[in-house]
Amino acid sequence: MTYVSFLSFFVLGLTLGIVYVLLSEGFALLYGVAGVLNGSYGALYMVVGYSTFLFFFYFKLGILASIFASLLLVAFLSYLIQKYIADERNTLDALFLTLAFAFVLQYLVSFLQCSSAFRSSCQYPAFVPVFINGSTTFLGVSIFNQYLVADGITIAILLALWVVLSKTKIGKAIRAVSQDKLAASLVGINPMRVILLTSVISAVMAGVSSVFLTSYQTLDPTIGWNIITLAFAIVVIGGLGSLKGQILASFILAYARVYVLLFYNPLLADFVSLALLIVVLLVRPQGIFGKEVV
Amino acid sequence: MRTISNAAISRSVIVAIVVVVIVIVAATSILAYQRLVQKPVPHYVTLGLSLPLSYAVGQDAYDAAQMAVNQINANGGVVMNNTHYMLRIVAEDTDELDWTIPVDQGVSALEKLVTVDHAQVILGGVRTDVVVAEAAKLAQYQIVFVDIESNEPIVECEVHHSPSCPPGITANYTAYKYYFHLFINGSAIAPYLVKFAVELKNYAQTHPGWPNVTRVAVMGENALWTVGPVGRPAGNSTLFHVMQNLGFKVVYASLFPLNTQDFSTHLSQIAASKAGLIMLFFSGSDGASFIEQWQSYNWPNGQKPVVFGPGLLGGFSEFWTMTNGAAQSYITWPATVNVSFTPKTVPFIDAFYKEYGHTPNTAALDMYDGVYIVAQAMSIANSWKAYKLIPALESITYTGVIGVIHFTSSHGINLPSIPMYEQFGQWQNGVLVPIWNTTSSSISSKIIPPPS
Repeated sequence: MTYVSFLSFFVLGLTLGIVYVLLSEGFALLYGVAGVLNGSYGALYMVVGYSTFLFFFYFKLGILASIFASLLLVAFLSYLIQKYIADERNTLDALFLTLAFAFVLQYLVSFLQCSSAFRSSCQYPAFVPVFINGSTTFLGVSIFNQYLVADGITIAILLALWVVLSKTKIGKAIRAVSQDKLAASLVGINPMRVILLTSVISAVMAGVSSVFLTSYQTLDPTIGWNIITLAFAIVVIGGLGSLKGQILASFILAYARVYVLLFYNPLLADFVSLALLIVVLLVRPQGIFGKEVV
Repeated sequence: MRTISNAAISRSVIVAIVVVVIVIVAATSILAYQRLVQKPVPHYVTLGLSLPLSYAVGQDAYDAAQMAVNQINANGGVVMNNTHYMLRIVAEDTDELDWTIPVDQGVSALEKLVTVDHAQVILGGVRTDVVVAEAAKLAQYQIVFVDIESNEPIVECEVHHSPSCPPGITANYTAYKYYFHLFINGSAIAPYLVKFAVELKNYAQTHPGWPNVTRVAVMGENALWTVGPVGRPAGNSTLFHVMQNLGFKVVYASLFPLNTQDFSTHLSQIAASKAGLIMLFFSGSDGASFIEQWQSYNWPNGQKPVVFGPGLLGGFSEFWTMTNGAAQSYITWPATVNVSFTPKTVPFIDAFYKEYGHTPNTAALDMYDGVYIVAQAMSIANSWKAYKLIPALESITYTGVIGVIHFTSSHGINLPSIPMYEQFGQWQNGVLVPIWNTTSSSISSKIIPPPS
């Protein structure tokens, strides 16, 4: 490894790791508070990409308005999923139901994409345009400005989340519900509302990661599956319910991926997260920072 | 009483017989009259299109087939045994440009075309592994398949050995004679790319503002069609061995998975390798992502490498929009530029543009010619049946929109005499500008270097 390639490894891994934190944060948060492993998390990511495309190219909204409208849409969708599909169910039931709903969304988008209403979208793949152009060179390595902004937003979201959870009334309510729903309800907190709110926040996080990342790929109704696999791997490797575990796992997976891309074989990059997931589940099923269930 | 009853029955029977006879005569007369005044029932030949209809490549090919069919029918259809047959098309969506779908789905579409839609000839094919699987079914159905866009010589080599066929292929004419290939195959691309690279080197060395294009980075999507030109591992192919003998140096070579979204690591390595030329081999939307990121990247000293290479999507009119204009200066092959490859080319492109609002892609040009070739072969053979149609197709010479077409002994297209496959174009401000073809003495002065 030369000095130049080490710098590339360091900088690109750092950038990607922060993006991974953003991508998995919503998934981890909902599990931490409500015990829901949201199987439709990746599908929500996909829907935001498509809806941004729709608002931008068909309804001619500006890019920021399109993103905002898409985030509203996905927040509403997540509210419906939590209220009518996942609520009051155990983790496994909720996982299967939300996974099934993810397939429903996938096939619905697939159908609508080439329906008579949007026939011209069949002419070429849907995509979200890059909305922050250019690159910045850091330690001799060029990084896309859109990634840098995504990194900044991730850090801002994490800080905001920390402030909300530790300093505000609603944050205390969320923490209370995450610890014990029954006890929380006994002190006047409505767990249902707290979980719904968390679900909406989680979906918005998936949406924010989507608008930043889908600019660099064309959209496909199946893109969500890679995302949920990655989010699931990060959360399990870090330890279910552990924020610091999730952050650490994000960087482990990001650096492993960048290492394989730079120094080994790009065709194996997607294999890394799953291989690490299997290793962690075999060696330490509770994850790096997870508590062992007795 | 008995006598009276018999007489009454006899009268009734006679009346009934008379009524029945009158009815029969009347009905027969009506039918005969209808038959006399009726227009002759049109005879049809059904062309089955096996295409990814949700993608531009499939949609353009479908539209071009419809245009060709309408034109042929307007001129009386196809005459076989002194009978006019109208052409009609039926299409099945193979979805084969979605790389995640299994090959079976493409084969199912072919099966439906034959068994349910009763197609008599099949045209289509884009993804090589799907076409290979489809070709294996043709002998079972005894139906001709004209492949318009896949580009690996596997099936050609199964039809008949030829000098371009890779060693180890077992020719099986009986099983594969139904297959005809209108598109250039992956290995045949190489000579054109080498010729252009040499011309580009000469141009760049004598004009200011160009990077050192002798340092080459190779980027190839991990698909069957890139095995020939890119090699395995990447860079290990005849194409790059020849280029190295001609003064080029491959300083970076990599494959990337289909639908890759982030090329940061590749770009950083290409930048570190000081490559001045990126040869990009793609067919799907990952190429658009690469081009966008190549344009956004902060290249050392502000000197962007030139990007050129075969990219199916790169020659489509939508590519400029897809990349948000980042395709500026990207050089693509093959390029459906508005150039008179034959007297039929420009009228077709103009008519297509007028009808559908965009420039047709290569699949459209190939499909348009494919329909006409099949129609001409049917009228020569006086049949659509494979055992008569195959000899007709094997001996046909047809001047189409892509060039003067005839098939080789392995049922491939007769290269090198198809001008469309010799044309390179460069994206400039939303327009694909013709900059070179193999008959040019040098690169056109219209070429521009990558923006700094």
